[in-house]
Amino acid sequence: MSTDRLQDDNLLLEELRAGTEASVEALFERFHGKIYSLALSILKNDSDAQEAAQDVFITVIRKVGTFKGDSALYSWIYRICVNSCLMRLRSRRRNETVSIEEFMPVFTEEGMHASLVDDWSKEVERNLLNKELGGVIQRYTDSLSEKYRVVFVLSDVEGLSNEETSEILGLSVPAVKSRLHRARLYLRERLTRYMTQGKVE
Amino acid sequence: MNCKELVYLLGDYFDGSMEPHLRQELGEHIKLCDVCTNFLKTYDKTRILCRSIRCDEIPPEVRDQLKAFVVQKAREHRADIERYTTCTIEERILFARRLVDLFASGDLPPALTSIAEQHAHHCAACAPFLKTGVVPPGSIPAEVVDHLADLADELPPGDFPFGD
Ligand SMILES: [Zn+2]
Repeated sequence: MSTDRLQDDNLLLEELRAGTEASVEALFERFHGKIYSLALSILKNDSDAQEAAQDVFITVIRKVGTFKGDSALYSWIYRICVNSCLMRLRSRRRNETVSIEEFMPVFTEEGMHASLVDDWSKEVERNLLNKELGGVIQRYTDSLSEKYRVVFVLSDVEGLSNEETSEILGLSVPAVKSRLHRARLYLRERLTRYMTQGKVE
Repeated sequence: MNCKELVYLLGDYFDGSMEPHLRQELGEHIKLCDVCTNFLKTYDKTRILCRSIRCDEIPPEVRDQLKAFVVQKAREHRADIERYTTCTIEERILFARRLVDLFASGDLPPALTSIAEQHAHHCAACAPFLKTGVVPPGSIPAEVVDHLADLADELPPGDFPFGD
């Protein structure tokens, strides 16, 4: 059995259902990196991410017989991964998330910006991603509530399209876009305050 | 297009779904409005910066552990398959009824509740049973029993479906 052959979703599924060891290895090789990184982006903790990844593979192996193929294989696997992470998040008492409302842009009645906006984008290019800034971004994304964070991680961190994210989360595309936009507005504002005041709030 | 409308449309602007006439209006607004120019640049920068926090390298020892675990579990699973197939149809029906009952009364543990809600999103057959409990659980069709009984497999290993 060549591993190349198992690059094809349908063949891989067929072999997994038949229970061959080669198919389990092919499944692992294809998806472990993505699953682990997605879990780590959501859970922010190595050992939690590892456990979540274990759960994902167990679930896929157990459920492969009932997977109908009505969505793409990767999106089914991502969905299992997101669910597994969400269950872990919910069972873990999380630190308080911030209300994002107070970080939304403010406009005048005429629809103009109520205050000036600094352009700090060049500033970052100069000292591109030092450790501190990386940590700050982690902290801010971590403070997003689950509703926004999962959409944000799938779309902006993992780089999936709105359609893919919508399929994985069972949300409409407009709902995905609106959550993503609000998450970015929130992060933009927090980064702005950090860049202009130089301290983490 | 005013500043507020422009900000509202930035998501469409960056994912390429913006209609051409709006894109043109946006371009014209940007030329005249420094505040929006800065807003757009920092919005874009935010997206780019956040992508760079992605951790795409799995540590080799974690990878090896994970692989050993998965291969081992897959072997055990093959051994378990027989046990699964001996789970009787009556047991599955009882399970499905109990799930629908507890879901309707709100007594289902959170883990299984969220799995059931997710499933209801994707499955038109099961959705009516997982809405308000309007359908008496005594008359669950075989297809729905199959789906609902399988939901238990999505729980993390070691979790009891009904929390007992
Ligand atoms: Zn403007």
